Amino acid sequence: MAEENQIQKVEPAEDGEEKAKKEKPKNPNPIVIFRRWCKACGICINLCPKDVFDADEDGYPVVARPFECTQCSICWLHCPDFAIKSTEK
Amino acid sequence: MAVASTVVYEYLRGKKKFPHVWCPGCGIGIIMGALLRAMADLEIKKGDVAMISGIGCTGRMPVYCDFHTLHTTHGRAIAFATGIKLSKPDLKVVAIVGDGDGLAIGGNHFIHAARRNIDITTILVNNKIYGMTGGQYSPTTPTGKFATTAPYGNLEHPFDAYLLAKGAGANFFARSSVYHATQLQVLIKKALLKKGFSVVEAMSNCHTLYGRLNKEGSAVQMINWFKDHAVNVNIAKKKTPEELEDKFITGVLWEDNRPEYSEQYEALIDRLGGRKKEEKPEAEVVKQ
Ligand SMILES: Cc1ncc(C[n+]2csc(CCOP(=O)(O)OP(=O)(O)O)c2C)c(N)n1
Ligand code: SF4
Ligand code: SF4
Ligand code: SF4
Repeated sequence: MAEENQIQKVEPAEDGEEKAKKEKPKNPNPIVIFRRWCKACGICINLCPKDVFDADEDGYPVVARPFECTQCSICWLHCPDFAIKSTEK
Repeated sequence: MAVASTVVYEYLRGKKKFPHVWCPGCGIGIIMGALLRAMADLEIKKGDVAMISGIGCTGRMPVYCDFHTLHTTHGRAIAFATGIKLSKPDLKVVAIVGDGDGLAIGGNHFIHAARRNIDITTILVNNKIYGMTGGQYSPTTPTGKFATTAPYGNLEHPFDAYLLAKGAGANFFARSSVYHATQLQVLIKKALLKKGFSVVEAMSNCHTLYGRLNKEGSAVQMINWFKDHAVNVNIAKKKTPEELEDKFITGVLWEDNRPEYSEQYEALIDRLGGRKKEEKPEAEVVKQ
């Protein structure tokens, strides 16, 4: 399990560049939904503190705002159907 | 707490069994996730665990988990678990019980396992109703709440599983809910490490029956109810009974260090010289 547990290193920043350095490169694909296991219960859509998901017309979650995701883990910890995978954790 | 989102897949049995049988949004899946992550966190191997359940929606959990599993008769999970612990004391024995399964028909086994203080980790999924059979009231349905068998509101008083476990002699009792998935994982981890009879009561949502009959809304609404009505045990100490009236207390509520039964049983075998002769090879035993 070691590779999943990697912590992103934050290097000490040079003067003036601090902010730019601290910002991690954003992952365009932070969360994956397995639609075949998902039952469209809406828990992930409602509990995500960053409003990353939209519901499609059938109520299934769609990762609509991937760059908002902070990898807080709330969605996959609460998915009763094991239908969410984080690509970073 | 650093387990990855993918560790659960290592413990799931037969991908063909999924999607599982539970209703969309049912909390039992969240509890199962917390349990599997607790196992991964402790680096417990699949072959070192025996998971035993009775009947009910909750009772389906071992069907999906790739441990040694036993899906037994209604109410008897802890009775079977007791037998397994005594014959295979090295296994980590986990009993999965619903509130009806564990406290109504199986209430007797629950208190006597606590009294013996046998090393079984019991996960009590409390959704306050009989889910599988259509919403009859259970020993944890609060007074006044509705069930198909209590159309005018429940007249009875519910059990507090904490008082029951503590009074009967368990070594550990903790409570959390499906909203508090991370806390639940931490508490299950503590329970797995604790020697003796340990209980984690996981408050869960059965929105399909309890939620509908009591107008408590969808899975999401019920999960948010748990967020709003949980009080940590340390904060609860400073509150009045009135302030705690419609709340539930979370965290480690009880811990003790009474001697554990299966260890004493093993020691007795040794004391009586029961292991002096060479044990019969297993194959021979099976033939008889
Ligand atoms: C001996 C026996 N009596 C009654 C039943 C019917 N029965 C099946 S599950 C159940 C209750 C389940 O409730 P609970 O344990 O709270 O689990 P849940 O379904 O809510 O998860 C009952 C009464 C049975 N299967 N066997
Ligand atoms: S929580 Fe899981 S099952 Fe529910 S909508 Fe989200 S991905 Fe689907
Ligand atoms: S990890 Fe957190 S922020 Fe990212 S999608 Fe899930 S709930 Fe939202
Ligand atoms: S009936 Fe209730 S407890 Fe059973 S799966 Fe559905 S929501 Fe869960």
